[in-house]
This record gives sequence, C-alpha cells and structure tokens, in this order.
Amino acid sequence: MEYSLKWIQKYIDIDIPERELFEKLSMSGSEVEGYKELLTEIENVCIGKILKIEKHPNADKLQYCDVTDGKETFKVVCGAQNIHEKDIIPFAKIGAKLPGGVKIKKSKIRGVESQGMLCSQKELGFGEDHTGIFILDAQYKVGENFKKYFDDMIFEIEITPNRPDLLSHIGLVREIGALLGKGTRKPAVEEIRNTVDSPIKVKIEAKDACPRYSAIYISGITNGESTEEITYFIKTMGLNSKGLLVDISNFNLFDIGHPTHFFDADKIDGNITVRFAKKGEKCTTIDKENRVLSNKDLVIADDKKIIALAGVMGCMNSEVDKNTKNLFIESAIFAPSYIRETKKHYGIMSDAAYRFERGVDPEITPFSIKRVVYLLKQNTTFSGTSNILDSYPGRRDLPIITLKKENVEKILNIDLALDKITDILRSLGYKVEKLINNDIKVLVPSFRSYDTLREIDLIEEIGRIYGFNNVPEIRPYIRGKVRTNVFWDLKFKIRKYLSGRGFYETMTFSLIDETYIKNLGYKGKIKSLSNPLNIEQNIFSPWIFPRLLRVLKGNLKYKNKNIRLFEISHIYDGEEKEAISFLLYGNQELINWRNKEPNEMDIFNLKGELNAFFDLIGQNDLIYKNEELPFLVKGNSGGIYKGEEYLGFIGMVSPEFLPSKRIEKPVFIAELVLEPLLKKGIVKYTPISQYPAIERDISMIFKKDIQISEIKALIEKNGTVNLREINLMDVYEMNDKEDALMFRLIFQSQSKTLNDKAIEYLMGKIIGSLEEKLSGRLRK
Amino acid sequence: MDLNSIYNDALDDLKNIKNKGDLPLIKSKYIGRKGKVTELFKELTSLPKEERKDFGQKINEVQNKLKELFEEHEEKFRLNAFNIKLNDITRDAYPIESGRTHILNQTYEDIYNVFKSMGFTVVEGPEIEDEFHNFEALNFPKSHPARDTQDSFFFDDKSLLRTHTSPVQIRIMESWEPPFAVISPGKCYRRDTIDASHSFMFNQIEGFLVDEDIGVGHLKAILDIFVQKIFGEDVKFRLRPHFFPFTEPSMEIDIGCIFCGGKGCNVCKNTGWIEIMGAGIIDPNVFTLSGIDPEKHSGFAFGMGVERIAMLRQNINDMRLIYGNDLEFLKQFRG
Ligand SMILES: [Zn+2]
Repeated sequence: MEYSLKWIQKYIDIDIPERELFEKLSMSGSEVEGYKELLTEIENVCIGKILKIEKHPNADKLQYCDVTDGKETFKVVCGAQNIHEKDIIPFAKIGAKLPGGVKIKKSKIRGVESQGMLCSQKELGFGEDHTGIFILDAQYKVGENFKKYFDDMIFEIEITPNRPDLLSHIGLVREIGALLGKGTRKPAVEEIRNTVDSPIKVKIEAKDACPRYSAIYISGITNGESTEEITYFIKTMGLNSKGLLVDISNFNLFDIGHPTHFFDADKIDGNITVRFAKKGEKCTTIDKENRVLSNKDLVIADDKKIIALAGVMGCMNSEVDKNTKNLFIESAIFAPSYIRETKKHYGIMSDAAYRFERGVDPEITPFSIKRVVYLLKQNTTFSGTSNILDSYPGRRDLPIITLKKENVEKILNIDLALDKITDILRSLGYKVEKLINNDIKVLVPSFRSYDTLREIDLIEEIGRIYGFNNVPEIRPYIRGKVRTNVFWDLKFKIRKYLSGRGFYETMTFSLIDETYIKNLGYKGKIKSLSNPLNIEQNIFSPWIFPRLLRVLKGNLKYKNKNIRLFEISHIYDGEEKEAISFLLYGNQELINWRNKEPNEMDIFNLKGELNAFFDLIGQNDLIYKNEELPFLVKGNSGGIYKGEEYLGFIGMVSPEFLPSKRIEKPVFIAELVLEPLLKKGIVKYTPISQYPAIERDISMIFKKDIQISEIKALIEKNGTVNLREINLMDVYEMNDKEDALMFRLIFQSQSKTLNDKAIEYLMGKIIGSLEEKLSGRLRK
Repeated sequence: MDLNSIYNDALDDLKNIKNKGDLPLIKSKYIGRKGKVTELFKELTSLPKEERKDFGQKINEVQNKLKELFEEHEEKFRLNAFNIKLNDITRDAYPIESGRTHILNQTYEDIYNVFKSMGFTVVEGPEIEDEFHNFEALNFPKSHPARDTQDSFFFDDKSLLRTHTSPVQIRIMESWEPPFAVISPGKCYRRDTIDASHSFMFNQIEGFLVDEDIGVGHLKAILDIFVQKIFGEDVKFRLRPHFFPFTEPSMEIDIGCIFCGGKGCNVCKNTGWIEIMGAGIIDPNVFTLSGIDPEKHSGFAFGMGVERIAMLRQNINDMRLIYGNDLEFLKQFRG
C-alpha cells in the first residue's frame, strides 16, 4: 500500500529523517519498497504576493499585476478575476515546470510582456478548481518554494498477508509509534445523537459471512465539491475527486482502514437484508458491469433488489449522486473467505475487497461511523442522524495467550528481561499481565485478532521489534545420520565428465508443446496442464531431446562449430523420472589447416561417447539392439538395455523432424533414464594380470543379416574367461548379401602364460561355433 | 675369402641399404649364425696353432665392429622414423573444444559444497506435487493467493507443479526422525511470464535443520557461513522480518550490496542491501501436520532462488540469458 507522509504526520510527530523512518519500518517487517515526491512534475514555483493590479492596456478581460517573490518584482498578465492586491498565490516564474510538461516561458500577451504565471489548483495538478487562481493562506511565507508546503512523500510498503491492520494510515501510525516509542494523536470523531429515526432496518441472514453490520441514517444532507484538504489527501492515494460523499468514504478507507458504503437512502426499497444471492439473480455494479450472480455471492439487498456485492462493490441502483438528500451508511465486517470468492469469481479489484479479504478489525464499525459523521460535519451540512444500528452476531472473545519467558529464549536465543518483553508487547497494543513463574498473560487487541493467536506469534512480535539482527550467532552442532546422496553425486560426476568431453550442459524448460511431441510420434502417457500460460508449453515434457534440438537450432549462427549438448532433467512418461539426453552435431574434428574437410560423424561417434560414459560410471554390460523409432532414421537407431530393462535409445534424427532447414548435417541423439545407471558401492581392486596378452585375428564371411552383437556373444561364450577383448577391425562388403568381418581377439590369463596350444584350442572352438551356429566361413 | 674383403662387402651392403627391413638380412648375412664372419671362426681349427690366436682376435674385432655398425644403422633408421620437421610453434593448434556444465548447476554445486561440509544431506523431490505437500502441510490456508490457478500450474487431477522446494521439507519430516539437516535443490514453477527477473520455471535451494532447541541464533550462524563462502568474507548480511505461512517468525535475508558496497546504487534501489533469500523458524503447525512434536522439536528453514544467486555473483542482468542456452553465454562460465 502507498502512504502519504503528510497524512501520517497528522497523527504523529516524526523527528527523524524520512530515510531513517523507512529503514526502521523495513527492519520491523514493513518493507518500504519505494518512495517518491507527490509533485515531481512541478519545478520553480514559489509562494508569491500580488503587490499591484492594473488593467491590461490592450484587453478588457486581462489584468496586469506586479508580483514579488520576496526579492524582485515581476510583471505578470493574468486572466482570472478572483485576485486582489496583497493576495498570496503560487507563482510560476520563467523556467518553471508544471504538470503535463508545461514550461513557463517569457511571452507577450496582447503586446505586453508577462514574466511568469499565477497558478490555479488545476494547473498545479491537484484539485479540480480552475476557475480562479489558487489563493493561499497568509501563513505561507513569500519567496519559499511552493513544494515546501504542498509537496508530500508518497512511500510504498509491502504489507504482508498477516498484517491487515497496517492497511491504513492510522494502522501504520500505531506501528510507527511503537517503533519510535512515541505517542500518537487519535482521529477526531462525532458523538452520535439520535435526531431522526432510520426508516431502514437491517437483518443479517448470512451470519457466518457477516459477523457485524453497523449503519446510520443521515437526513437532509448536501452533496457537493470536496474541500481542498480532502481532495489533496485522496490525490496522494492516486484518486480523483468524485464528489464529497464518495470522497469522504474513500478518505475514511485510507485513513482508518475500514471500507464503508454510502447508499442513497431514498433509492432503498424497504429494509436491508445481508444474504446470499439466489442463483441467476442480477445486478449492475458501479463499474457499469451487468452481473449474473451465483448462490455463493454475499449481497446486500433491499426488499426488491440487490444493492451491493457485499464488501466488494456497490450497485448503480443505490449509488449516491449530487442530488442525494438522505444517506444510509453501511459500516460492516464481512468474512474474508466469502469476499475472496466473489472477488475472484468476477475478477473485481477494489480497495474495499482488498481489506475485507485480509481481515478488518471487528470492533471498528461504530468508530468508523462516528469518524465519517465527523468528516461530514466538517465538510457539509445535514439535518439529522439516527442511532447507530448495530447487529453483531459474530461477536467473539479476543484471544488470550500465555507467554513463557523460556520459550522466548528458546526461539530467539536472547535473555530478555520480563519488563522489556512486556514493554514491547504493550507498545504494540497488547494488554499484558504478569503471572507467576515468568509467565505473561497477553490479551490481543481486536485489530490483531486475525493473526496473533498463538504464543509463537507473540515471540515473533518480540523478535521483530527487538531486532533479529541483535540475536547472537550460535553455531549449531549438526547431529543425526550423515546420509550421502549418491545419485546427486553421480549427476555432478557426469556433468564434469561430459563437459571435459566437450559437451555443453543446457537447461531448458520442462514444459513443452503437446502437438510437437505427438508429431514426433510420442504415444505414451501425457501430463497436461489445466492452466498453461500458452499452448507452446502445455505439457510436462516426456523427452528431453526435442528441447536439445531447439537449442541446436538457436546456436546455428555459430558456423563451423561442432555442437555437443547434454541435459539432465525430470521427464514424465507415465511417471516422473530423471533422464539424460545427448546431442551430437558436426564433423569428426573441427576444420583446421591440416584437415580442411573433416569427415562427417556417424552413429558410432555417439555410441563411442556413450560407451566411454558408461565405462566411467561403471556400466560396462549395457546392450544395444537395432530398433526403430518414429523420429529416427531407419537403420540408424537402437535401444539401450541393461539386461531386460529398457533404458532409452540412440539414433540419427530423421531430417524431416529437424527444427530448422539450416541443419545440413546429420544430428545424433541419445536419451536414457538415469537412475538405473547408478552403481552403488565402492569398487574393489582386481589384481592386474602378470602374464602376456596374445592377439589373434579372425576373418570370416557372414550373411549381412547376422548382427555383430550375435557374433561377439558367440565368440565371448567360447573364448572362456581368458578372452579379454573382441574388437571389430574391418568390415568388407563381399556382395550385396555378405560381409567379410575381421575381429581381433586378445587373450590373457590371470594365472598363467597361455601357450600356442591353448590358444589354438580356443580359436578352433570359436571358429567352429561361428561356422556351425551363424553359417560363417573362413575367408581365404 | 679373406677377412678384409668380407668386411668391405659388409660396408658396401650397408651403404646401399634402402629400407629398415633389409638391415636384419645383412646382419645375418655377416654375423648371423651362418654369417660370413661367423663361418670364419669354424676355419680357425684348420689354421696352425700359432696363427690361431692372432687370426681369432682379428675375426673378433671385425665382428664387434660390424655389430657396432649395425646398431648405429638401427638407431639411424629409428631416428629417421620420427620424421621431425621444423615447426613454427605459433602456428594454430588442431582445435579441441572443451564443454561446460550449466551456470546454474555450477551455482548449485558451490552452494551444495558449503552445506555439505557442514553436515547437511542433499535430498531431491518430485517436481509434480500434490496440494497437500505443496500447500496444506506448509500451513497455506485454502484461500491463499498462491493456491490460485492464477499463480500455480495445475494438472487435470489436482496435482500441480511444485511452486517451491518446501514440499521436500514435509516429505522428510514425514519419513525421518529428527535430528536432521537437509538441503533440497530443484526446479520449481509459477505462472509468471518471462522477463528479465522472472521465469515460469526457476531453481530453488531449500535448507532446513530440525533438532531440539533450535532458534534464530542457529539460523544466523549457518547463514553467516553461507554468505561468507558464497559472496565473500567481508560481505555483511541482515535479517529483516517478513511473513511466510510455514515459518514463524519469518524473515528475509539481505546482503550488503556487492555492487556499491552499501553506498546505494540501481541494483540495491539505493538501500545498500540486496535480498537473497527467505528464512525463519519452522511454524509449529508444520511440525504437527507432518507428525513431529513441536513441543519437543524446533528447527529453521531457508530458501533461495539459484538464478538470483548466480545473477548477483556473476553479473548477469537478465534471467532470460540463463535459459537461452546460447553457447557463447554458457561458455563464459567455467565452473
Ligand atoms: Zn548498491
């Protein structure tokens, strides 16, 4: 909420600099988020005095004045007729600036030079009166800057939801009083005398939603223009004058924080009922919107119609206007949840609803009436007032809390004297009574009865006033099991490793476009948002790679770069899990002076990266299978398994699925779920063989449909534990049906030197099985 | 054949040698088991006794000399194979590109290390949460604006994207016995449109410690270590009272402006202070809702935006850069 410093100063004398006050407020929980001068657009306007008035030599309706700023005398042409010699007026000198970008320049008016301007209220940007010059009180000193008297500091405080009591100038004054240890002045009120009976009675049907309804009937009132003061203060709150009655209701709202509603009593048929609307009932609120209501809307109704959405907005049918003669003023309390419901349902933001949905002091309603009547009396005339009508079905006892000194110590870690504790609480409006054993009985004031209900709430009050910064630091001894999160550690190990391999880690949004995912052929479960911000981000992404493709697209401007990306992210494909995705794009090496035309990559580049990565994290027994996926090029894709468990896929992205026509080289991707890749436990040492390793090559011809994995599995099975490695060394296409393959086998034993005889025996077994099971034949 | 002409033949052969592979052939031709020089030893027996010693010595000399020569040639061939050229070391290298971890994960790691060294455990939680863990158990009233569909992303079935990492606090309290000290990092989501300081997806680190008799002083000491390690030993911090549903008392933590040193500048809006996180003493209601006795236990909690920490420390003025994934941007942060 925004506050006017002038307004605050009506109720408390502040003798510290503004910045210091703001700092104190911030450090007690009411953060001052910004401040500004009210009259920023005005410059170089001073308090002037008219010395002499003559007729303009060339124009009947203009006058020619001598005006002084206390030092010099200026000749000024003026059209207004309300000025007299010796009047004190706002005087804009040559070079002055006025609201709306107006600059005062030396000018000739009907052949006579004018050295400045006398200003009306409207020209100064506050007040509506433009009929005459703004004649000032004699108290203002000639020559002083106009802003010295009329400017204000408007500051904004972020009021947290627990402090609705601060949503008014009086509320903040109370808080400042506690912070500065100073007394405050109370707003003046009018004691009500019953001089006319209210023709309107009030009945509360919805007692839960309306704990209290006070009201007063005022007869024979004159609506009119607001005074300079009321106009000025509602201007500080950013409001324009809308006639005296509305202005006073608004003034009161910002003054004491209680929204009242003024009905034109003559527009009310019969009596008033506070009730829920019937489904389908209609009304037109003062913002001119026609509304069809539901049975959840709390309304104020008379015998024939709805006259207000309770606590949110009034209706046009009962609005006050300039002809209003008799007034019915509502001063009620509405329960926050009902107000919020209605406000949310219709999307109405009003200052009244803002306060009711946070909670208004239930004890304030009679006071509010007396205050409003006082303001009316100061600003206009009326003939009679009724009694204060007051129904209070929701009356509740104020909270009483027992506060233990030891608990203050436990939470705040400070040893505060009992007197200091009671001083702090009293300054905030709590009634305090010391009990035995260092316990204190605390009665919560009604304006804090929404948020202070427990002992811990009082401890907070003490803490924030005492200052959390004055609490001594105590390094805690951290106890409990030290649990290591190996999965978290694994992810960081992976990040480090892959960045060392030249991969960039990305972080992309987990929300993605459902249509895009479905176009890629996704058939799994989808988690879609019921309220997405836009359709580009309407589901929780089931894959990461489409996001990497978009990152690739975004980085194509960097020509001649190899792009290697990875990302670790949560995905949803029926359940939420964490996955890792890789993308490889570019050539085998970067273009350089030795190699101007590096080879393009193929799928085995990415497979090599994956295998090195798997090796690093201790996953050496993963299996690749040739498998097709809708977004991958046929014959260039596969699934990755750990035993029977499917982990993910690898492949070349089908060109039609690439997000940019400027992608001219193949893009390889892989994506795997991460958790099964976690290897727990500490690696134990395996002795290094002391015996020689022996190499043997096999060249055999196989049908093309025989997979390398089948051949290797068979070799491995027959090679026994002494076969350490099998590497495919050559692939030679014999014809369109057969390939000649060369494998290099490395034999090594942990326990002895393998002699020729032993090796030949194993080779014989291997070749025999390949011939028998896979119809291979030795290449001559 | 006499010794001299054998020796000369050998020299000729060596002179005419073309490739490295011929060397063993020549070697065995002269000093191999059946080599010409070796054969001469066999003839020794047929010589008169007095000449034997003398001639034997000569054969030996020639044999050693040839051995030396062959070794010399072998070394020459080995060195030639190195093919050493004159190179200008200022010429460009064959480029190798290094990669990067993401700036936010670098920040995560720095923060994690601070708390890990103090004995905190890291625990992650699901990003798709239920209303109980995200709001209810954290003492958010049903009517709290954060529970609005305006502010949070909901799925069809009352589950939602977590709006903060605090649900992990509840999940831990439900399943672990105090005492414990945990930090919980991860992505969170709110229905904010993207601008220089907002993003509908963002990263948060939550920390909490539950034991007996834990108060504001303990929180302050832990934050002091954090601020010193992450922002520098000379950076001041302060606790400013605030409000959160799940802590009481609640506060926001400001650090002394690292851009102007507290004198006042644009970043700190002339206050000399910059907000970096929220914190507080865990509300007794939160304990009760997750099955911990608030009479016996107390604790503190804090939470911070990882983007904000990274942006402050590394002078990044727009959050969109962080999620833009431009390689030139990512490349600047080496971790
Ligand atoms: Zn600064």
